[in-house]
Amino acid sequence: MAWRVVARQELRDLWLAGRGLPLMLAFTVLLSATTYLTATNQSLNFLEQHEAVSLTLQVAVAVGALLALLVAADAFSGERERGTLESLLLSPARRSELALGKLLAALSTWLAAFALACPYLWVLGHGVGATADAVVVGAVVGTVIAVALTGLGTVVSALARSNRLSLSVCLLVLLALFAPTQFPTGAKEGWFGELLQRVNPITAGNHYIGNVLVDGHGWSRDAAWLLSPLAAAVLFAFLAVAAAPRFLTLRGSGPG
Amino acid sequence: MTRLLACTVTIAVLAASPASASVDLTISRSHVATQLGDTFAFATTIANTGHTPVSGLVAHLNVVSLTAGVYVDPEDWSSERTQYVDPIRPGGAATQRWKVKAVNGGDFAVYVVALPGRGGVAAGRPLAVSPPLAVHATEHRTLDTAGALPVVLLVPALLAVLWLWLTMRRRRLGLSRA
Amino acid sequence: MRKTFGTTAAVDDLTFEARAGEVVGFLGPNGAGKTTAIRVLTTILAPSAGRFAVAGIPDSRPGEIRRRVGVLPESAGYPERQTGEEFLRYHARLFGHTRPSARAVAAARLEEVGLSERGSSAIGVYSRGMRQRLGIARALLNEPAVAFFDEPTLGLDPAGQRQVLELVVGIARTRGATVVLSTHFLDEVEEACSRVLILNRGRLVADGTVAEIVRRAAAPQRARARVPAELRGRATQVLEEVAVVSDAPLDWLGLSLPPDGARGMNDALRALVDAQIPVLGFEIEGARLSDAFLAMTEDG
Repeated sequence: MAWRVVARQELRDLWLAGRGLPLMLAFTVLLSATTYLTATNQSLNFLEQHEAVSLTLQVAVAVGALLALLVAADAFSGERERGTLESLLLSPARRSELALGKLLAALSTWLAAFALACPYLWVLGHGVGATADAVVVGAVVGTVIAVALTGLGTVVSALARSNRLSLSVCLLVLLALFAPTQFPTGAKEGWFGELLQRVNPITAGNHYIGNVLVDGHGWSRDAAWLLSPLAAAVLFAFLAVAAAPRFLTLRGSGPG
Repeated sequence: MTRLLACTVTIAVLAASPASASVDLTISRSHVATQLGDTFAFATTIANTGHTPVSGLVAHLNVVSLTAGVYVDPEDWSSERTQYVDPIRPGGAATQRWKVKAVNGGDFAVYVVALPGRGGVAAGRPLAVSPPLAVHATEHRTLDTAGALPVVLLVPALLAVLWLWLTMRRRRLGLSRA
Repeated sequence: MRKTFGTTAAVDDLTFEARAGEVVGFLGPNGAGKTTAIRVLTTILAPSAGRFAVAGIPDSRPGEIRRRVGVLPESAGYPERQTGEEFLRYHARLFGHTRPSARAVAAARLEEVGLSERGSSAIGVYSRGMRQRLGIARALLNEPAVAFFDEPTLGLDPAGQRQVLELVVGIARTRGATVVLSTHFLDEVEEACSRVLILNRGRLVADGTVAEIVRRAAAPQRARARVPAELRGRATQVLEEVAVVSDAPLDWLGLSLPPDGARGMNDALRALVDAQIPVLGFEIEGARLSDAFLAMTEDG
């Protein structure tokens, strides 16, 4: 099956010959710094340790999803710029299989980031019994968000005329999604504030993580917050594999 | 003159906050010994000891550190610190249940205040307060540097070694026989 | 077949046939539509109108067409960090080969194009000629029935051009495949192609063998003759009866002969011989096809 061949080659290009490892190295340096600072805090109390676990997990989800998005944003527009897209389009593989293979390879960035974050979650959380919850909720929420963003990146990449345009659009969308996490508490209150929080898959996912890890809510209590991440994942994965390939051309669309 | 005095007293009595004149707060426990991070529960009962119904009461929980220098954020201890009490008939009572998590170590006092909610608190009127619940939370350190160091150092180091090895391998491929 | 971009017809009413084993040359100035035509025929672009079939497969089945064609695109890029062998194995797998089969096919194609010793080097260190040969190897992975080569010798030195051209011609000869060769180099077409299609502004302006096209273009033949210096004047007089004579460098006489090449040359030589003027040298100047090409593609 062509998608397996494409995914395998993309994984080789990403991890054996490409940017995958240096990106993960930078990610683990970041996690190491934050974890060490947390561990040396003498007056860290119980609640703050739960919050540290939650924060570390949210950083892992954010950075892992970001990296997956960046790799996906390069999927087709990068090939276009390097002049290798035509050879790929000349193969008998269906366009949708090309897209699926590239999407899966990009998703591996999130999976690697999450796997690397697990030891840090264990260090921060095992003393307060938060590790298992953190790993499970991170795996679920993080993967759903990563699928959504990877799908988005693949769609944009298929349509964008240049790699610069693809990366710019994806980063802009990501910033727009993460911006509400920095809003003051007052701005998040009220029906409109809560609606924005729920509709945005990033804020909804973060909210769910915080509720489970910090507030100790049960898994199903806030499950409604996972609706928008799930919907985004399904929508963008479908668009990436089924719809965007129909518009995949040698030159792309839009301004260069 | 007597009639005027009687009217004044009556008005004073009638104008007094129902909470201050006819409300009594009791608490189900007097002390709790717990561990840092554990949750404990207790209840308060607001009794209407007056002759008129009491309505619009708001019960509010607070936490105070009995040790100077220990910062307490009550929101960390309980996310539901306010309960709106249903009207209480004369001689009746209403019970509020509370769950609190000890997020600091040391000695603390937990208490509940009953305020008249609707119509605002009358200035200068004393509030109805429960007796304090004495909480002693034992600290235990759950995170230490030594446990974190291996992970903090090893994970990036292993990745760096792997990356270096792959880079050297690629360079060898690029410089193979001309 | 027609392909438009907006209001511009990049290819307009292109109609032709190519048989198995033929080497068909696509000639045309920049912007003539050669690359667009190839991209339509190889299903990279969809035609705006018209129908075509490649290797007997209609354009309604593009996936099957791609299985049966091999293509060296004009501006092919290569993944710098992959080795040549890895690159070929990947594309062989995309064509449906199993892993062992892909390995064997990749090795065979590398051998065929003379890259077997550099197969394990990263493509990033390949020269331009090596990359073109790698591209040809990729085009042959699926034993194509029709192979398209778009400017395969562009940017190569003469030795590289010769190597690549020999490979391209060999494909038709040894495999019986139809080869479509798009090139700017007229001598390549004269040397390699059994048929030539000349495109200009998206339209087909000539289709036939080189000789047919030259004849059809009625392009004048050019030659030059050298005679003893003291007989130059008399030679000019004699030659002016059969050709247009002009001065050429180094004491040669430039001749513009009628389009019927051999007869015109014979007449010029006979005229000199009859006038007992020794012929010290006689050469056909330039590529005859180039005359036809220029005549057919210059702006009217």
